[in-house]
Amino acid sequence: MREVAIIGAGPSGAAAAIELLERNIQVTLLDEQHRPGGQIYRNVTQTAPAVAKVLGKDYISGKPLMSNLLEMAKSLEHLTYHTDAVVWSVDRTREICWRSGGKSYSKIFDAVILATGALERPMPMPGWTLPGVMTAGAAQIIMKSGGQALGNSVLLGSGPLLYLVAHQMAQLGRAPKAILDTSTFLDEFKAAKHLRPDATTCKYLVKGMGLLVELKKAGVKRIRGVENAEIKESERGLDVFFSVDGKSQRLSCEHLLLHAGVVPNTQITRALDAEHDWDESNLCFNPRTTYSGALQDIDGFWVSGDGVNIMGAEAAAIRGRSAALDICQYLGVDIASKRNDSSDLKLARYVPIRKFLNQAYLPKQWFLTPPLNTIVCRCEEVTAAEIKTAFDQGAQGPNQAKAFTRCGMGACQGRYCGLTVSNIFAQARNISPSSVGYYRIRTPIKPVRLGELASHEHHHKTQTL
Amino acid sequence: MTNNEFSFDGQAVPFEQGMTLASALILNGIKSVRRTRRENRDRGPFCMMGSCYDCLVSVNGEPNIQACQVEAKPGLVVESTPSEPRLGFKEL
Amino acid sequence: MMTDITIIGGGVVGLSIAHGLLKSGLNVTVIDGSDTDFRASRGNFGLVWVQSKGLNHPEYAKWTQQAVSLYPDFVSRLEREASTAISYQRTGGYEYFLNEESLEERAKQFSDLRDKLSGNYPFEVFDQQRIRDEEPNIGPRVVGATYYPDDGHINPLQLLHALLISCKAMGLNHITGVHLSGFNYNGDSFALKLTDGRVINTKRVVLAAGLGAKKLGPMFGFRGLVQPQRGQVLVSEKLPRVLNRPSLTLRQVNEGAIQIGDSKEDVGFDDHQTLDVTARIAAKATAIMPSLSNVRLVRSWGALRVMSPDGLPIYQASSKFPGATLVTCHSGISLAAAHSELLPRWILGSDDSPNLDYFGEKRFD
Repeated sequence: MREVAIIGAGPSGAAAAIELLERNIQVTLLDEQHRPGGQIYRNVTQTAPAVAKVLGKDYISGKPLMSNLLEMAKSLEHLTYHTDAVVWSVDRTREICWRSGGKSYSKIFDAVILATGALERPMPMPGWTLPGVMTAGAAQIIMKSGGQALGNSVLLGSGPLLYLVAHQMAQLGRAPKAILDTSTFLDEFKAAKHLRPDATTCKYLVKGMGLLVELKKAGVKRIRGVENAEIKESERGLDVFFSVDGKSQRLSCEHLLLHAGVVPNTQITRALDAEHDWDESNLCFNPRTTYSGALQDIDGFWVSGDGVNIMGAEAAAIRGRSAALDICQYLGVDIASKRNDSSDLKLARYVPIRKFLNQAYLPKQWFLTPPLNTIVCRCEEVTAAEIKTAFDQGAQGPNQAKAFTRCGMGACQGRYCGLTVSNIFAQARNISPSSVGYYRIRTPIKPVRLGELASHEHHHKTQTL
Repeated sequence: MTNNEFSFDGQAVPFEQGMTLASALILNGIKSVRRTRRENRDRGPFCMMGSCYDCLVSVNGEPNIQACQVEAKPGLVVESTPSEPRLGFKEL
Repeated sequence: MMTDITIIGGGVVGLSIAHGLLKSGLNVTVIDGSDTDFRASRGNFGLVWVQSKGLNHPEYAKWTQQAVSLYPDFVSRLEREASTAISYQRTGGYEYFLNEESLEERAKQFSDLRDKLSGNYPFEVFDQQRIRDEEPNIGPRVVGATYYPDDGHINPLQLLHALLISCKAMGLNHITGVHLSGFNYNGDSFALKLTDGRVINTKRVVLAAGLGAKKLGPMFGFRGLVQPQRGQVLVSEKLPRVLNRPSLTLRQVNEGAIQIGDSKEDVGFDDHQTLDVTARIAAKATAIMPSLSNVRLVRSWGALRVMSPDGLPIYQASSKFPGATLVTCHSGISLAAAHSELLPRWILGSDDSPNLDYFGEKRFD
């Protein structure tokens, strides 16, 4: 019986699962959380209606998909849905290991969809490791899973999520004090060339304008062109120092929420040694895939959703279905009833807005290559100065830097320092991050207990390819 | 400990249904849950999505649990992670 | 560009040799590859080890003993030269055994070797009580261990780092991100052509390129009989001090993590970890130290050892291209002090050169 594994129950994973299940293909869905939704639709099947309303129509729009998935999990025999399952190994034989409830499991599949979405880009600056500093996404997760907003907060960075989160917090009665936006109106003006006078764009812009109006009404201060931010502890909590047009300013808060855009989560594709390409428009690496998400040169793997490149939740679902249809063909299952090429058109309408957002809110260099005293590798507490020293001593790239400084060796496996380190080397060597490369990522993709690993002791010898 | 409270380092922490330990801690003003190994600095929840490993606590004696991945339940005994966790070994 | 001697390969072997040559006042160049090449120096276990080497080759056991006896002073000097700490401990080391037969077999092998070395092989056999006294966290399944007093361990990345800093301070010409594309030889010196187009004129060449010897060796008249042998390694999260001494399977590194290893596979140029081997390594480790069960695995890797047919180093001067020498081994860490202090004499053919004929390629005939 052919079986497909899907890692991640966000919009693309859920959409892919349903597409496969409708064709009676056996699916195993593995997700870390207790309920489906990924990050964007986190907890959508459980959130109280009042909170859901605050989180917005886009959030609520994910409910039917996730409810549908839960229904199928209850009623369909050919769906196995493992919640609270942390995938810690994926290899080219399509064997997946995951841990759940203190045990580890492994299974080989006929095809695998990596639907692990995106991560927030690391936003290193002096003081970003202080308690009370979190990501904007974190603040949103607190609202999604707890129904409450953080108080006494300031948001810093760039990108639409900052404004969305601020608005959601304001509606829950905890408007942030300020949004410190590193982008400027000029950035938006220059990026406007990407916009098209079509429905998607108009809808988006109207929404954006509306948010700004609401935020002004809620008394949220908006400061643009913010540079050189530093965070320090104070009796009040946190002080964030920054400058605008060369003039220094300071704001105090209890919670500082950072955001510098999102980037594809490439941990598993990297662990598979898949090829990745540098995306200059979003300053990140994307896995190299076919249009429907198949990894090139590695048989049987698809990436869907924001893991391919950042396009948002609606596009993610389209991509999930597209990958599923591709897999059907791969497995020799009839899909005559649906043509896959319509996804081309459907995705195309998200492109202009995406190009605009990427360019308008691209993080500035001071944000990407932090001051020397900044901790770059949070896990191992390695500073930018130590990495620069490694370069001065002959390290050419992230892997040698890792050997010299231990950056990237901690529990997060480079999720929050990888791009920064690649960028530091790109700057130092005056070449593109494309030529610098990235950390070599290996299993375990997430830590697993030695006893759990040992339980696979009588495992058959792994096929070497 | 009443319903809808867990303890963190002996302190009662109220929560609402559906919150993770990390959410509840942060919403109750507890921002630091562990000390780092190298510099002995305070760290607390950062990403809230299980990726940063900064929110490590022990839950009912089990160490190295990400507070953001566990749903709060009444009566859980949650403890901060010291800079050098013992993890059941004999001290040399 | 002109230089006295060029070393091809900037890993621990190449840099140890460079270190020694620079001290004798020569103008030294090291050519090193890229960030993503197979780099055995980055993947090894970090043991500075005598025990169980050269069981059938007393000459190798002696060479290793000599290398390790030089180690403490070598490290202290290097720390001062590079102004950086190198965690090195020579506390003695073990091999743990989970059954009596294997322990007895090993004890017999050591005893035979000791005879061949005229008694100069001060190993001990610890019984179960003794090993548990020495290592309170070792579990009841361990029946005993062999112990060798001069064994120790080091942070190999710190060693590599310090060698590089010290060499650069002594004027090493360090060319990175390139490989050798070819060369010309005029009977007296070499014109080495690099992949970036540069040419280096050098009187002597040392091939210290690890597995690169397979391809480069024959170019210089060597047989280059090296094969990759994969070892897989697990690294745990950091713990407080729980182990006193290192062993072949387990050691606690200076930052606190437990490093677990000891596997050997012939899989070609594949440095991936595999579930079957890592699981068996984990199972053996938890059998030896049961409290490891709840400890998290944070990193793992596979690395390729540079293996000659008999596992011994190869030290060979080229007869076809006088001035070129081949240096290869899988124990670059343990031999680092000897490669810095003794090998340069042999490379330069000086009077106080050690006799390394035993390690020539002739033995493969």
